[in-house]
Amino acid sequence: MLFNSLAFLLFFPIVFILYWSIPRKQVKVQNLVLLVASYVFYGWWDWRFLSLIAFSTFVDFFLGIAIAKSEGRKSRSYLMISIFVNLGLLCVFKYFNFFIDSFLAIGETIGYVPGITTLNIILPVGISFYTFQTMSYSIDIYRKEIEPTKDFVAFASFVALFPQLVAGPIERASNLIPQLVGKRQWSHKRFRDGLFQIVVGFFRKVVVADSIGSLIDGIYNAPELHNSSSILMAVVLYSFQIYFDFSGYSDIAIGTAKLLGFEFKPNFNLPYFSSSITEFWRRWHISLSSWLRDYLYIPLGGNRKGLVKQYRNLFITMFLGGLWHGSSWNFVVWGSLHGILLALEKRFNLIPNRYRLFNNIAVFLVVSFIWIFFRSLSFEDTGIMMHKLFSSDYGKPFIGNLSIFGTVVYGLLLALIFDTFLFVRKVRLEEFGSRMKPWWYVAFLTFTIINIILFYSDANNFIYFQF
Amino acid sequence: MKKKSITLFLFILISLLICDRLVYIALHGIEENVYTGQSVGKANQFNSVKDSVDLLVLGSSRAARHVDPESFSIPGYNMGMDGTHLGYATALISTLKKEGQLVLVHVDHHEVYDIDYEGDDMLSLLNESKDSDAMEDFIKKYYPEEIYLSNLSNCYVYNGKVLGMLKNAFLGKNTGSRSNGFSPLVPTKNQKETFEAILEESGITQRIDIQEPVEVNHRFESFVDFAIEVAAKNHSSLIFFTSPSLNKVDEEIRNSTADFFNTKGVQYLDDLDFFKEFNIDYWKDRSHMSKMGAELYSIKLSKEIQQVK
Repeated sequence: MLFNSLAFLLFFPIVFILYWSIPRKQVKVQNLVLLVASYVFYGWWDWRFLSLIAFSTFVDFFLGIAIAKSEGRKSRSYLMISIFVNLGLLCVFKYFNFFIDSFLAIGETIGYVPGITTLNIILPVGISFYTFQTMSYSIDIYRKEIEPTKDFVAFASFVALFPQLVAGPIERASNLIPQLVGKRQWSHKRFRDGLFQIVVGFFRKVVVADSIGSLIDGIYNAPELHNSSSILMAVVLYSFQIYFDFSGYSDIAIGTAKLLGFEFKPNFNLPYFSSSITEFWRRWHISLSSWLRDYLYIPLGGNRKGLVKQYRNLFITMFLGGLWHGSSWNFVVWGSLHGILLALEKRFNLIPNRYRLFNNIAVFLVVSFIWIFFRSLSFEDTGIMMHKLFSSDYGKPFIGNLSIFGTVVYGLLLALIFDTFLFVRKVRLEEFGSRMKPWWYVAFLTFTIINIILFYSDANNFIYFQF
Repeated sequence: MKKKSITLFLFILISLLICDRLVYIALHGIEENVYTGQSVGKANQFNSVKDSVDLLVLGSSRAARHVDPESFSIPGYNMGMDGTHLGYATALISTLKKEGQLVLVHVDHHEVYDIDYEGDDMLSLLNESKDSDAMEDFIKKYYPEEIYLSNLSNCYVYNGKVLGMLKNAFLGKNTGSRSNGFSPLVPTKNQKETFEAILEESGITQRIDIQEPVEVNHRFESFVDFAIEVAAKNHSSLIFFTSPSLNKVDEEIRNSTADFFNTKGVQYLDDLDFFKEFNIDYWKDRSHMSKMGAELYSIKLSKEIQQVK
């Protein structure tokens, strides 16, 4: 089920009313409602893949208990089984064809043609998110940072909780399980914040990101047909599309969770106001970057084993971070370039300790440039786009449908003014709703919702669903 | 605490409801005076003439670019619209009241058998449904949720239309004169050269493959039935036609299309091969004739219809 679908607009109020009508003491019943709702939410897309979530849930629930009960080697073995199962699911469903294709390509270059073929495997939506979530649960238990839960329904709800199931944020067990086990209190502040964030998220997604998508998809799909101005426009606009698409999704997820009484960690913090790539990654997809930091970068040695190893660790982390995004070399190159830039920033001490406009512009341009790898359909297209960017074929850019172009300009302008306001006033979106005066709050939501109704673009999938 | 939240929520709902109605009234007021542009202006022109003219041409951009009502001996209007198909045309037919009209509906062979077609092109007329019960009933039959949503939020009917409408209202040339809806294509020298290059590379005609199994789309059939019903009620003549194109389909498909309309007891004219010989001056691209080609075809169509009638 998509957040931006009529089905969700009917589904959520039903779940919300049912959930809050259960007495506060009946936490298990509330969790059961959440679990069933989450499975319906996911099964709406394809019920067959519910078995994968259920499998991952069973395995990690029992392994979590086993890890906590045992010590030393035994405990480590259970952890290895958990990691093997979760990464195994990812490898089969997400990377199998990629590895086979790459193997075949290498074989061809040395004249060896192995008799293996790829399989027609459907990528289950959200698999990268929930496998990382369950894996971190086992690792945290092994590290004795958390205790395993004995409440199966609470654990199953933690894995499948519908606001974050298909595209994150990747919630940590240490944050979410205690909330699922404990009683939930209705909070007016949380209600205001949640509703506000949902509405802002919808605006970011269906007005800004989707309109940009309608305008630039044609350019990215056939860059050879467009001039340099159009390519430049597409590159810059894609930076905004992916930001407003994914942060919009996260806003809806976090806001929805708030309405159900949960506090998720923020996932975005105005990343395009960063003065360095390092800062960008502290503000962009925070739940993934902090996951990679805690479960990959630090275990690799982090910055504790000398500068050279720190650069290596940064590169490996970002290389695998790129691969996490998708089974394509484009993503690997995208991640690796970020890894190299992070290492260069450390090496040449290019990270300012306060905001600098010049750095901000430079970071935006560099990040936008690297997004080309992320969005292009092939390396060939990436090459064409880069060649055109540095050629002199600048002319009238492709505008396409005037109405869509107008919506892009209008929506982007509103969204950027709002983000700039948040940045200048140093306010977090997550808590902005409750800080507004009630009349301003009502007026703001009314204005935004009317704009969503008038300018929303036909539902596109969220970009991060494919990961 | 819950009470406070419910009160706030109710305030938001009331505020939304009031603003929605106010914005709708403002936009509707603007819309009524827009007579330029595709999305709103042309529909307004259609509304203003549909009950007075004797000839109406409906269909996709191929209808809009290929049939000149001036070639017919009766007053007419061409309501062909870019990017639309039979769903849109039938929604317009649902609003017709005048008796004895000649209604020409353009269809392409592949549209008849397109299994993915659901008629959602009719939804671009959602704003018109607010002023026409007949159209509202028609859309409700296929997309009830859209009508419920548009009743909940009146502004919903203007989704995606606002900026174009405002542009045409405040910057458009509302000269007061009305056109007959025919919008012929006059290729520039550059366009002609590009088209020639394409033809040289990939041949003059192109085959359109029809997806297997070849079955008439149920919704398409239901639209045809509805159009026949309205025409019978109004004692109007309904004729479906396919205009010339360089995109060709198998003879078998053409025959089964003719059979389909024949079984329905409605006239169908297949003019796909009207031009026996290729002349680049008659074409803008493979799907669309140039003004020169369209004028020749319109005269032929007019004569053909006189014979049929």
